[in-house]
Amino acid sequence: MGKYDKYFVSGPGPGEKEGTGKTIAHIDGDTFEGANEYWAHWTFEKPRNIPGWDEWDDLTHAPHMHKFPEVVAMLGTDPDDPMDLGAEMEAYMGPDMVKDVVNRTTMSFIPANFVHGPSTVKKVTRPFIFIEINQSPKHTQKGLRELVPEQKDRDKMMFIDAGYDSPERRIEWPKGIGPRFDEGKG
Amino acid sequence: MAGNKYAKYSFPGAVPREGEGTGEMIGHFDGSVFEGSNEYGCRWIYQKPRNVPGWTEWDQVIHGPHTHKYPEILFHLGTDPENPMDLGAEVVFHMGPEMEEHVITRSTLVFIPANLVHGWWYIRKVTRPFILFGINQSGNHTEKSFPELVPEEIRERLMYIDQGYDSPEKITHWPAGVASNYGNSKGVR
Repeated sequence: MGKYDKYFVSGPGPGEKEGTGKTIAHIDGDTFEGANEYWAHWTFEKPRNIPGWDEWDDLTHAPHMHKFPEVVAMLGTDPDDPMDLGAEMEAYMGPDMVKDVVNRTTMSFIPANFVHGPSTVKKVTRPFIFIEINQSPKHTQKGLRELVPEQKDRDKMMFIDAGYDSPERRIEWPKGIGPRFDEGKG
Repeated sequence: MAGNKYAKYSFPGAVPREGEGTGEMIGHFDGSVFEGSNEYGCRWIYQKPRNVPGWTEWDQVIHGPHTHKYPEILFHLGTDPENPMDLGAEVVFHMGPEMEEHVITRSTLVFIPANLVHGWWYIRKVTRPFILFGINQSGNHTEKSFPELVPEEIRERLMYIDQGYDSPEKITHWPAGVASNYGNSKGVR
């Protein structure tokens, strides 16, 4: 047992449940003083572990924002075609909801308080690595229900609220899906 | 990411002003690119180093012990979906002024507190390409080298960097024989 073993993280934290794939590492300011939030996980051909979530496009992450900048990395894993994501993600950016389809290995910077989403994984032909980074020690997120006026659209969306009206993370799942990991980090 | 008004926020591929580094660059940006951003650098590591003249085997060059003013996070990410936590490589990482040795063979996040000495660091073996993603929790890179902390017999293989302490400029020291025009490029590692 080395003095610095704790700084080498491989797999979910103690008591942390898996999300939709396989967690490589998930830390924040509670794990290490001074750390921002980092979550890296594999995304496989189908979602895993969440009751009722059988196909990726069963669920859409609703439009939202964070108090601090976010960095999202979607990393393809084919060494013979390193910039191919092996997947297709539909994502909307900005208050004017400009649509984008991501199918290449991509890193994105999202400024503080910048509206982004809805986002949906449309297809995974080869598992890829998804990394979410929030430049704050505690996760903040505000789901923007007012940007989705139609109830039928909201019914397919997951809204997350954390660090705005309440420090706790609250997840509003679509009908028939979840909950599973809203008791812990995730 | 076809040229829409927010395309500037995404990095598919190398930043135009930079080289690829020793592998294929996925993306590299910092506070000079986006206001408020920390420094992020992500790239593929192949079986052998690429692009740097004279550097043909990974263990020819060892990144020497150093500190940063702010925390650093290093993801070592294996890329085998059938064995998702296997790194497919061996990375030697020394931590702390005691030079405690760790050998990384699994997909691993390493958290390095501000001002904690870390390194020497080197890649001993790559059997399957992996992804190295380094983050410095500051808008500008800072690094202070401590080459005197390594045993004398490996000192000639050290690469070390000084930036943001005595001078804002990046000064890279390369081992003899690894001539490089790569030294003035930006890079988390």
